Amino acid sequence: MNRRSSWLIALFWAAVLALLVLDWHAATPHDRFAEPPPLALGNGPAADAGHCSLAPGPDASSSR
Amino acid sequence: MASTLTSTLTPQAAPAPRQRLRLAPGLLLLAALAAFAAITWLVGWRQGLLWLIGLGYGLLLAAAAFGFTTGWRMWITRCDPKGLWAQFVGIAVAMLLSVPLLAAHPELQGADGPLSISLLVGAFVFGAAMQVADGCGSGTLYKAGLGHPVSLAVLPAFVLGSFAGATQLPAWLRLGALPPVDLVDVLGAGGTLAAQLGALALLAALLWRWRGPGPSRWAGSTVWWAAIGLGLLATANLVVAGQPWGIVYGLGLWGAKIAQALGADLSHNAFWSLPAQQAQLHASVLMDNTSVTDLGLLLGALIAASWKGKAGPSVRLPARQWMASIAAGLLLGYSSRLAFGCNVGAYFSGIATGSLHGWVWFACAFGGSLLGVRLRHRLGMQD
Repeated sequence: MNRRSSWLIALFWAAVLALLVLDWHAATPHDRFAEPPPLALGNGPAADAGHCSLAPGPDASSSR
Repeated sequence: MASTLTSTLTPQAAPAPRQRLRLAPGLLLLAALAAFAAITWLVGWRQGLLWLIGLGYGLLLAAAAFGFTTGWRMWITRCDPKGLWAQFVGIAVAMLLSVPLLAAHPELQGADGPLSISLLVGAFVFGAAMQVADGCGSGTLYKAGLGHPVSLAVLPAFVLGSFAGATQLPAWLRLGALPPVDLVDVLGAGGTLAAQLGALALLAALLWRWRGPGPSRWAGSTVWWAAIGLGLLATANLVVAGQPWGIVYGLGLWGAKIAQALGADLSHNAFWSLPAQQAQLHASVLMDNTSVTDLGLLLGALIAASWKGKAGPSVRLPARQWMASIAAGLLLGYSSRLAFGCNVGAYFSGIATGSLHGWVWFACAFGGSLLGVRLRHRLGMQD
């Protein structure tokens, strides 16, 4: 890895981190004690889960 | 540890280049574990586990150079079947574990995309574009993660394209669509496994029959272990998130969040105004399953590449090829939303969870790749 590549990678990750921090501060505050169970198996997915295969629609986030 | 720290602070005792190269993966691994702790603390155990699964995806993809795009291209240009075989193994492992779970647990969601005109168009365009960009959904992410300059340029275009594709998806769906066909519902778990494993075995046999004479691009058994590992991780993804492995929903969400931060009003858009999408837009990306695995994949790829000394490869391309790659990145993002997923969300996860749209995606995207390989050669790009 040359110096230019190192800088490129560092710049990329700095941008990712900066965007994550900005996003966290702009987002609706999250109550971490209201988290879903660790596994969806037996409990169901989070209510607002999104996936690329889901068609847009009012019931797009519901399970089968 | 103390001596290592002292040596880095003392000019006379600077570490040899080999020592410095070996230090980076350890630091990156520590950063990955710190991120796991932070995500688990801030958001919850489910997202923390998904971060670890994403790290695993990145480690395996980068360590084995497991590429969907290259696997298809090596078959098209050299009749080298190993890359496609490995993909089939990964899908089969995920299918063997996921289909019985989906049959027994209705709370789990397969990658069930509708059979639409947009699927046919989107998958074909995606198949062509991924050959020009030399990376599909997972490929672009893992190569961007390890610092490949082309993929670092393609990724923002992919994000922008995914956002635009999602924004216009409802209009595309008005061209015509049939509802999703979930083979687990239609055939049951046993029937789905028999039909789909039979189809994969038949395809694998045809690839063997028409294989080329030269050595495979993938030497050794690493690619097989990576395929098995990806199948296991994809199943873990389903168990933890309740939905299969996906890539592009997260990228489109990132684009929408950036557009919103820049002042765009998405509350009247047919896609982003839906309650589920509004909830995602107002929550942190760390709450989104796909985003967390995507971010983990990026860092996992960097760790694996640093370990092998392959991070940040130098690439020299003429301006025309740079422009073509970035344009292809835009098309990748846009078309993957029309097609209800990329090679991961539609092809890998779609087939592994018994969605008929996964097979339609595979056929159309492979047709597109036949065109994409020709475009690639016309642009002077190497295989």
